[in-house]
Amino acid sequence: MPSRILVCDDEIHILRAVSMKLRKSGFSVETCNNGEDGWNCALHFAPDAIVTDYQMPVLNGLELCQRVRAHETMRDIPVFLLTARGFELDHEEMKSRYLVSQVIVKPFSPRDLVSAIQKHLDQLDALRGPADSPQT
Amino acid sequence: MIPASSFYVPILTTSAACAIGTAAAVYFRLHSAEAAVYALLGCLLCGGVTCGFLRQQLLLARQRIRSPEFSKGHRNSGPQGLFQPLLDEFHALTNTLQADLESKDQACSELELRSRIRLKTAQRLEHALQCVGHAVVVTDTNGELQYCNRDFLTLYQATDGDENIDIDQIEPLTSLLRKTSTRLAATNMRQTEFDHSCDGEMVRYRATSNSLVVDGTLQSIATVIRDIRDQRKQQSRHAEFVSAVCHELKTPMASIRAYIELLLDEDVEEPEEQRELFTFIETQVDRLTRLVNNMLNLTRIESGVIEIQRQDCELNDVINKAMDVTQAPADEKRIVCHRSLSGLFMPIHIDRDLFGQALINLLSNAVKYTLDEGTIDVKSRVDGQRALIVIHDTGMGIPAESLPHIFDRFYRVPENKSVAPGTGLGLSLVHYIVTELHNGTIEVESEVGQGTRFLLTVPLGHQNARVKKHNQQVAID
Repeated sequence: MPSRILVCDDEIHILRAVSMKLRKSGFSVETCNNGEDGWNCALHFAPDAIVTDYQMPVLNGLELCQRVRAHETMRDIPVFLLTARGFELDHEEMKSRYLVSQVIVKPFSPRDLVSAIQKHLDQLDALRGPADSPQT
Repeated sequence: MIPASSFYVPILTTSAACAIGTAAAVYFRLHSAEAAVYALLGCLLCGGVTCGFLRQQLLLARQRIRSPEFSKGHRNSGPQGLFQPLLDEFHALTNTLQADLESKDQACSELELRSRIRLKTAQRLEHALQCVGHAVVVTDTNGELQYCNRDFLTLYQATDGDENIDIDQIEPLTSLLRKTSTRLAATNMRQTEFDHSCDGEMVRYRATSNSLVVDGTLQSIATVIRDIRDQRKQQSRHAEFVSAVCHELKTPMASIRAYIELLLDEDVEEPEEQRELFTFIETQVDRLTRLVNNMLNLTRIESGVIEIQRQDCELNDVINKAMDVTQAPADEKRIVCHRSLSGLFMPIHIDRDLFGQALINLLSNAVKYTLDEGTIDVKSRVDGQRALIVIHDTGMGIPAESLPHIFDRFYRVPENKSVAPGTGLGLSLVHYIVTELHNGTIEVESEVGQGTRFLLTVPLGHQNARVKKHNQQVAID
């Protein structure tokens, strides 16, 4: 069963490029253009990983990440934060305080993003054991 | 020395004659009273002649003293007279005294002149220190107050003549002065920043202390305290601007980067889809170009690189020309443009190019966000001392929550982003041109689905722009 990836970004072309790359790599993808829709989608889609933009209307990426970390079943899934304000964000604080798995600075390589997602999923699989691991 | 022949001779002669006469009178009295009388008469005659002679000499001396030649120091011509030696002595003495007085007068004049020059210098310095616009304080080596200007008194809310300012109680200063005096070997200038309450607001100040060292000895420390809130605001605005610029540049670049990678990795197989991505990349590059050009334009205007050239214009003429520029794009969308301009002559003093650009930006937005077959109404009229311009379209309108941000840099109404391309700098530029450069005002009213109204005012006639800055009126030509 392919891994499920939720992608949230208010920039339609980023959404399109990332989702195309992920689907090409064998992932199942859902997209949303704001954090609130992203959260509602996550509740029924039950993603294995989330890729979210930092600045979005209604609910931003950090707030979405906080909700995910507070959720019983989703709290361990990798969350990747996309942002154009790379130098203004403290990456370590994002990781330690908001439990973001990785900060991706725009412009970025979709190829590298897919590799990072795969790597985190493999690490999660290793922690969980063979019975719980999804397969791409 | 007075020669004996000049003064004593007649006295001695007279005395001798009196003595001889008296002796003869006494002798002859013993033998003959008549002879005695003759002797006495002889004495009196000699005495009278002598007195007359002396009187004549005194008169002569007085005459000589009063003559112009005497005051000029020249030796009198003519008979010298009995008192001439005395006069010469007196003359020499007066010359010496006069020279002395003259030199003392000169010295007094010089001192007075120097004193006036120093007073003027002190007055100029005092005036300069009062006008410098920053708080200035001078302290001695013990940290005691020696001088402060009015701005310093105002800063610490003291009144003129208040000698009770205790520098020791002003902590940021105390510490700075202590370090300045004790660490002189390292540097004779130190700086610190601190917050201080001013009119109920915490304001950031920067204090810079400079030591006055003479022959290796510290004499005093002069400290200047500057209000740096404007500088901080400017730095903050600049940082925000740079951050916003980077964000605006990175966003299209991210899309371009992502699509290029997809194309290179051959993730996009359909030729139509490939073409679509290439087209998108092309439009994004155009967007980036417009963005850079608009940013450059805005910063050049704001920083004064573009020189503002004001001239007397007629407002309706400027409006008509702006509307002519945007007529073609309006015609393409079959948007009807109405002109309801005042019949009055409305003179304004503006930079024609910049103000015209502002109007073009507003009209272009109206065309951009008005659907096909909509209308755009432009009106002008006199409103007291100002001219009023109204640009009203029947376009998409702006949501209420976006209205407060409509003039912010890079702000674009989220709902309207997909309708037309834009950089988010157009209205920011309009706002700056109208309010900062032309002392005008601009307001916006809008309702989603109903349209938008921009209301501009600009001063009528030839009025210098006046910008209020911290309660000081600064005239800008």
